[in-house]
Amino acid sequence: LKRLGRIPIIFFFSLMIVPAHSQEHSPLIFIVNPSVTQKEISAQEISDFYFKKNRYWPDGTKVRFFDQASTSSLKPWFLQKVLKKTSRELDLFWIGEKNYNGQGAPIIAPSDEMVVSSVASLPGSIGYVSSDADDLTGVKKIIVKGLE
Amino acid sequence: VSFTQTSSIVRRFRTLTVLLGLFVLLEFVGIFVSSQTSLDGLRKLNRANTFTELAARGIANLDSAIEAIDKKQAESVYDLAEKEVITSVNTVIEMHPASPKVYGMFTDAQKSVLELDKVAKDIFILRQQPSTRENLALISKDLLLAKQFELDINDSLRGAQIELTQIANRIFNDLYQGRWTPIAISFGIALLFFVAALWIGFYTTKRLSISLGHLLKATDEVARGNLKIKVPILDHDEIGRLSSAFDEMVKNLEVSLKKEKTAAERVFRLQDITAEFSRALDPAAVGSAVVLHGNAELESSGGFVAIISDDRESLEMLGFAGYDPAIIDDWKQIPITLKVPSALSALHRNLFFCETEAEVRAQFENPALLAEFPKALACVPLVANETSIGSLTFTFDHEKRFSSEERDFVIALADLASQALQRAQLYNDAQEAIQVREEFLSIASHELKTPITSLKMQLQLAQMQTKPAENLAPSPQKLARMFEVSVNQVNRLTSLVDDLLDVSRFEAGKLSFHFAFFDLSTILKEVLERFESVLNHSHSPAEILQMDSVQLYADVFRIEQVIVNLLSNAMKYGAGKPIQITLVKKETTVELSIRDHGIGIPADKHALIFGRFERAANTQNIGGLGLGLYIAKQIVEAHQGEILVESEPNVGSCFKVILPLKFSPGAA
Repeated sequence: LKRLGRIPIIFFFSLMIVPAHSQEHSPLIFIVNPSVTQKEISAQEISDFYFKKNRYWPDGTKVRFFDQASTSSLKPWFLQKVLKKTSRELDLFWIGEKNYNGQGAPIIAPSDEMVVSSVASLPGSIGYVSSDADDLTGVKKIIVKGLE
Repeated sequence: VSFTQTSSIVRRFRTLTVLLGLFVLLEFVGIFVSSQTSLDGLRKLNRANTFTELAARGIANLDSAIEAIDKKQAESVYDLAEKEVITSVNTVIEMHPASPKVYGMFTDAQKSVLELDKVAKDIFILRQQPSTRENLALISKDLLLAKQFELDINDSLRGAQIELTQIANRIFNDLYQGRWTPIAISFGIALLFFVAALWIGFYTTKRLSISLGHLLKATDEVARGNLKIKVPILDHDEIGRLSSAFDEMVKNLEVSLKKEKTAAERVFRLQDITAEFSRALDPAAVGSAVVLHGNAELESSGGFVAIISDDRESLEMLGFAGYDPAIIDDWKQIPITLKVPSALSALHRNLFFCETEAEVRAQFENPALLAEFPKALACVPLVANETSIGSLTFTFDHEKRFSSEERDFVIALADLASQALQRAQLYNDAQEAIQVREEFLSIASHELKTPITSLKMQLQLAQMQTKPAENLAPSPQKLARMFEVSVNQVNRLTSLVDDLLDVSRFEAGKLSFHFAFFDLSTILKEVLERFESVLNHSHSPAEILQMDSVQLYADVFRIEQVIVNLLSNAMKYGAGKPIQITLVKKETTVELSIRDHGIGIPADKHALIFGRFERAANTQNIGGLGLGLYIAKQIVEAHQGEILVESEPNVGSCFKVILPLKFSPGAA
């Protein structure tokens, strides 16, 4: 039990360390299908795309957001820095959204590669992958203001 | 003003009922249409919802088919599910739900279905290929894309379903909230109808009682003799019609009474005029009375009576009133042919009732005749014994519309005036005849007395000179002279008496003629021989200028009488100058002329001298009864001839007797 009681402490400290690190270097980058002409985007716009408050790019192309699995190391950072919600808040939101507006949460791609291949295949799609991702074939990186 | 036959109450109720009926009908049609529209909307929404559910289930089946991709029937299951989805989505789109938002969502879903179909087909193709790593990666990617498209479809369908539910809720809510509306409207209409009926009933009754009150009051006023009362017409219904008829009746009554009064006044005035006319013995007095009464009755500014002269050549003013004498001087005598109303009326018996100055002016052929025209004029002829004797004219200084009564009055006045003028003229003629007769009696007594006196003197002289006792008597010469004078006086007496007897016979139509053929020149010569000594004694010897032998069928004695009368006149008025005689036979007539060179006769006496007891004015010292020419004229005319005179004062006179050569007494 003592060992178990230390876990939150360790986790807490680990959290203290990770944000300090992430403020300096974002662990993820946002990629879009090449059909998207926009060069940069704000975190708020990404949040609106994610929560389906805005469904279209300025040129009228439909937005498809490809999310990462909750097990992905990128997800917590995305939740905290971009969506500014906890995982539970996110679940509750989508439950409510499903019930009251019929909207489902974005599709979750199992890996960076799948995110890249999906974004590359579908015009107007957007997703995020690790900043260390090697293969960004068929997609293009979009600058997120305030997060770079 | 037009009045309706239907009672105002019934009419108003009928109008109100029709309006209310229409209103109720429209209201119920509106409610029905609104409810039907809502129900149709709901039905459509329900169907759309059903198909959305079907589509959603189809998506779930698609998902299952894709998930079960490894299974053998996956593709056929997918195809079935896809068909279900496409059919459902297309059905909803074709239904075209009222909300554009829902329509947009389904259109999105339709697009996503097509994209999903494409990806799914890829997956099934890839699955049939060898399971290489790359192939598997592609399948994974396509599966992910399929998931994305399913998500898009689900988002759209769910969103549409929620939107449809909200619309349905809104419709239900509206229907629920409006559940009392038909009842409220019906109640409101009933209330409105009740209030309107109550108000109309009250209002109509009040108006009716007011109208009847007015009518009763007016009836009382009329009964008291007030004919100026007028019943106010409140409504154009039966009471209004009754009131209008009552007003019209009272108005007609007033007009009739006024006419009756005016007619009575006119009758009285005409009676006064008649009485005054009967007193007026002088045409001028009649003329004055006519214009004075006419002016008073017609309120004219002036009037005049003009009569046609004896020669019927001119129109002479007999009496006038209301004019400047200076102007009247120019109109005292005008030619009868002058184209002015008074002359035209007298000549052609025209009636003039000119009501404006323009109408008056139009009757004057020469407008320069008057400096200022009257504004109205009435002019009618004066007719006596079917003969026009003049005209009666009234003028006005204001325009005037002549009523039929006024026209009748003017015509009646003219008729009375004509009779009065004729009467006055007859009276004058009678007076003149009496005067002539008296003058004749005076002359006749003088003329008869003169030979009687002379005869008496001769007889007395003979008596005085005859003294049987002394055996004294006038000498035979004296006696012969006395007898000659006495016989002459007796002859003269006989002649005078014969003339008087002849006149009496002419008057009685009892003068008889004895026609026979004879030579007129022979008779003329005999008369001249018989009168030779007398003519010579009067220093007027007869000079025969021409003496044609003429056979004539006539009464010898009467023709001789004509010659003797004419010769006696020529001798009496010949002023001791020779008398020229001609007897000329013409084609169909014989013309005997006896011309003297004596005192002559004024032109105005030419027509008179052939009358009874007429003598020239300046013949006081010349004897005679004034019957010679009268008798001569009667005899000549009895022989279908004519006697003419040509004379000039102090030059002489020429009497011509023209007799037809072929005379048939039966045609006389």
